[in-house]
Amino acid sequence: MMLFSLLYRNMTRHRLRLFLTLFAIAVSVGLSFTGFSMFTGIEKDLLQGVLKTSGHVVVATQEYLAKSRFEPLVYSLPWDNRLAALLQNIPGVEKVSPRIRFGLLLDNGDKNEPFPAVGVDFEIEYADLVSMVAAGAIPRGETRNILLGRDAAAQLNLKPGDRVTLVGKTAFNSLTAEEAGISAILDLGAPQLNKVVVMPLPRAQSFLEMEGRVSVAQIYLHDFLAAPRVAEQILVSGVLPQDCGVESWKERSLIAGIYAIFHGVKRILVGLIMLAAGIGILNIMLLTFMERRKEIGVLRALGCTRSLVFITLSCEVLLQGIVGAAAGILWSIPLVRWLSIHGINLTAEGTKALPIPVKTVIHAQADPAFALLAFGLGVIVSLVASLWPIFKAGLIEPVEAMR
Amino acid sequence: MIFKIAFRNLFRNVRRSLLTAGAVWIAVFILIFTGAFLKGFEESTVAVQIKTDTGLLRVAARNYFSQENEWSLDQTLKKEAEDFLQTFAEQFPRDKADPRVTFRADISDGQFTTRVRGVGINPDHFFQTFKMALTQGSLKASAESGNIPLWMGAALAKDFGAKAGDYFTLTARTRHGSYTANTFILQGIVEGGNPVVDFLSVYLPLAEAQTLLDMSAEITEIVVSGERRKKSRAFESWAAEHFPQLDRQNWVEESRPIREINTVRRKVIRILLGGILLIALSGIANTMLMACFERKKEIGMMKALGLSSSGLVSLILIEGVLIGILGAGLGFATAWPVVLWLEVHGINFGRFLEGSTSAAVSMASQIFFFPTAWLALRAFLTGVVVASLATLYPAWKFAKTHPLEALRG
Repeated sequence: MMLFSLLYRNMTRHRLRLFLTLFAIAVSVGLSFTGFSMFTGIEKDLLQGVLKTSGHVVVATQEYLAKSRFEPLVYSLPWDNRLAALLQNIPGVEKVSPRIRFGLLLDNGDKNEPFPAVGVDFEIEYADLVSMVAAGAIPRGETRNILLGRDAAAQLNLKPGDRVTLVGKTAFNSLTAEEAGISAILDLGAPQLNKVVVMPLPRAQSFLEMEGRVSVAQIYLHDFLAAPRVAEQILVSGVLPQDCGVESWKERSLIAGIYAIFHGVKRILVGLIMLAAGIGILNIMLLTFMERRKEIGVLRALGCTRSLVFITLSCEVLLQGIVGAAAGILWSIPLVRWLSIHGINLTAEGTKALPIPVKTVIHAQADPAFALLAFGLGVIVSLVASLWPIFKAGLIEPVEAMR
Repeated sequence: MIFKIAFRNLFRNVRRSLLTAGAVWIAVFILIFTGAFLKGFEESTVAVQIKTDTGLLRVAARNYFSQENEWSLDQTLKKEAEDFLQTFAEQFPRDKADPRVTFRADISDGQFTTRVRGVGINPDHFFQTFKMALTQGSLKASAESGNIPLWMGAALAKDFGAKAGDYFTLTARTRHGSYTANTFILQGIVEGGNPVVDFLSVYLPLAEAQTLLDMSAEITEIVVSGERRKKSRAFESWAAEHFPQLDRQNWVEESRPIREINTVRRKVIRILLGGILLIALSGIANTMLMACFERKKEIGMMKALGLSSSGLVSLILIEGVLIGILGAGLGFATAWPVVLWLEVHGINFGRFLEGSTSAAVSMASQIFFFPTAWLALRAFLTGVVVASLATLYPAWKFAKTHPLEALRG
């Protein structure tokens, strides 16, 4: 109790200084919290945009993975409900989406254009597809109708209800052609994606003579960061046919590279903020304790042990750190909340030109864990920064200080 | 006189002064480092783009650029191109203009097929103008009898597992819309450090491209290159005057997406830097305040001896400015060698781009930092200004104290 009142009095001795110390801690903790939330928000928006089209974990034959740029239909994966169920049952898996990627020619009777195409299971993708509809509707149940990306539809003047001829090459390299109706026009968010033709998987299989086979199975997880672990699990579980490979997004270098850069930048910036705060605090504490040199000498002469001096000063610093960090979290909570609701508008031509769907408004990802992390960092940094001053004060000899 | 005292005050507690300056140091270091990186990112990418693909100015038929992504061969040049190339050579004998046909094609090695950008060029002239590294084969068009040469970006060649001498089939659509194909021999593999070149492009002799696409001596664009970027203005006004019927796109417009991405980055970094400066500000205010408390008696003495309030303010302010100069100087002295080193050696981001199939964004794989004197000056001044701002409050507070009060302690 005695210790505590001494502590309190020491702290409030110099209110302005206390305020400035708390201010430095609060600014850095608040900034770290905001920075964490904002960068994680960017990371998530950006990555999930990319991963939405490519999946968190991809299962395909080894040969397909090695040559995926060419989308080779010959290296297909045998696919049935049993394998789908086995993959679905692996912990952490949210959705298993079998796909066939290929290219085809779309002919509206007047002219024809080549487009990238993908065969997907409409039932599995229903919610996603519905969220992208720009015109028309996604058919339920068995259908042979196709969906078109907005730019592809515009290029051939097509609208829902129209019919087109599809010309493609089967897995055996022979030419094939069929007629199909259009159910809906989709907006996928990026110019490159908006040229895609989406076909029901069973129809794609028959069109390409790939019954019972797909080119890849894209697996979506509850937490996309768990991808490497889940990929490992799939591999050791033995559910996959022979010669099959598993690839998590972290192995795909471009995405992993973007992620690594963002992650690195986030850490460096938070580190620098903490370093700046640490130097400020170190400075203040050094002065504070040197100012009390005499007093500490008296305390020591009166029988106060070194460890007690050490404890008293540490408690003071700790208390300051906690109060400052708490203040930092308090002021930044409304800011982070605002950023997570309204976001920062990054509308720029540049983001539109990117080959991936990037949201123009980036929202912060508010997470209590980040608040806790920033809080902990603030307290630890103020403690660590004060270690040297505290240690120095502890070394003061009673006589020396009295002089 | 005041300056002298302030200067001496600075050395009274060297460690404290250094620690105070430390916050400014970090802030200035970050300012210079991030500034040089962002500028370098932009410059490297733009430089690679100009050097390997777009030149300083591209000239094409009306509306060609607005529909470029459609890969239409409807807007072409024939007579104008001849005139343009001839008069350009007369007007700018030291600069270069390359006629090109750019088209969309599928390339196949017999087993695998992928979509690429085909570019018809005059190989000898083109490879002299656009500096690309040859990783295999030769840049000379002299293929063996009957074989048509083809050059390919390095990343594309790697995906195919191709080597010089391999045969490839190019499938495309003629300008009338019908399908056409021909077989080529891989003459060389080129690397430009530009994803559009390395991942997506194949080059073939202009005449062969025109035959393939049924284009009889027509081209889609002329790419103008010069030694210095400034020259693009001269090119542009000359082209506007003599060929007003043609559309133009200069390197500044060409690089707009990359600069806009950078603007976003700058925004984010600016906010964080503002935070760091705020922390530095509170640190300096704090130490100055304390230094003044420590010298309260002394201040009272000086005031009693006739130092005016404004004199006292300038005394404290000068000390703050000196601390700012010290910190900013240290920041500059440590950051400058680093960015200069990175200006020469650069940071290689190539491994992040390797193996990607969607690298249609132009980004140089090697980023060279781009430090400018203006950047260093701005960072330095920011540091000094922040330090002076931080001492304003302590100075103002102590200028008010009555000499007697101060002497009493």
